[in-house]
Amino acid sequence: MAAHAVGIGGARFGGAALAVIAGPCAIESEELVLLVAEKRKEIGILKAMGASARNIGTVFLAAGMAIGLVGTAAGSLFGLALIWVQNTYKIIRLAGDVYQIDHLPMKLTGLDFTLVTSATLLISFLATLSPARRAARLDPVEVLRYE
Amino acid sequence: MSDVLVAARELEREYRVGPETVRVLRGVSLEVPAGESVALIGASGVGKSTLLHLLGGLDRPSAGQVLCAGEDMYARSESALARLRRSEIAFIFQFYNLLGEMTALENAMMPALLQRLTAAEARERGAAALHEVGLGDRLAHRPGELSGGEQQRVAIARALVAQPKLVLADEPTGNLDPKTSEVIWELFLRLQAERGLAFVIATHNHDLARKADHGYRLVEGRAVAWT
Repeated sequence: MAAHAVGIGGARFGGAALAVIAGPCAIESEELVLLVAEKRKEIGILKAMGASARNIGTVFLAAGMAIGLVGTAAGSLFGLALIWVQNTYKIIRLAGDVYQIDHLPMKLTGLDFTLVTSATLLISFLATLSPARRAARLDPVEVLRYE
Repeated sequence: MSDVLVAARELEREYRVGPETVRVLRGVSLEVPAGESVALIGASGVGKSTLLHLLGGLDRPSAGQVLCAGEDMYARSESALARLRRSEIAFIFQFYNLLGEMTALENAMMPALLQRLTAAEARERGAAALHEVGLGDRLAHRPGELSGGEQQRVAIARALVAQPKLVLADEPTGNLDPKTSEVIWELFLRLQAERGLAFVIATHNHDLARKADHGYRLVEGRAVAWT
């Protein structure tokens, strides 16, 4: 989801990282909204069978969090891979006559990792709330009558 | 006469359609005795589905009451109504409303899972219900691989799994040929006799409706006894 910590001489790009996190989370929210729209009939059927609004909301919350967890894990692996590739192959170069080093070094700290993954999961959770609530509030009569 | 399982008292339901108010039900009163079948006939759009939804705790009336065990069903919270649908009432629909991505067995298991039975118990109940409706050899088939009559029997099995007292069937044979309709109706009557289930069945088929213990015709938003 985001390269976890990118630093030059200990500098952190927290704002940039959050921006990178927020984009995919917005997409996740949209995906869930589409999923709710796609599953309207199934939601109506389940409600007719006795699923409560809470049951339905929980299902979509769980689905959203699963997407968030998978995205966070994939993003973490991608970020770690980027750091390894850059530190190993020095792909992003710096002007050696300006800086004391000739490539952009990348460093991951435990604090950065914790902060970014926590923020990702939190934003991911918040992104699922509205679609989950929409699914929970769906009127089964309307769905079963017209779809 | 048997105990009354569910009763409608001066039930009204109106909808807002744009600037207009459409009064679908205008004071329906009827009784569903425990273990008996009630046929509901009437022209399309007269409010049969609306009445079934109200009898099943799926909608809310504009006025009037639905009495369940003598108490106003709609005095309950939404979650209490969901519990009622989970344990006492089952719906069967004209277009079956099966979950298309699931097998017949998984569809039939669903009410048991909602009742928080274990997967093994739910599977056992679902398989038994499918055997009961004559689909014991179709457990792994998806709805798309079944005929209309078979899909409706899966829907009936799904209704049975919840072990309800009342089954509300909305045009259950409306999408089936006459011979299959007869088979489905006979299945309802057998289940009524064997399990003591009460049925309310909305239908256009007067010949089948006459086989029910009681009949009502919906006319201008009211229920009139019909024989």
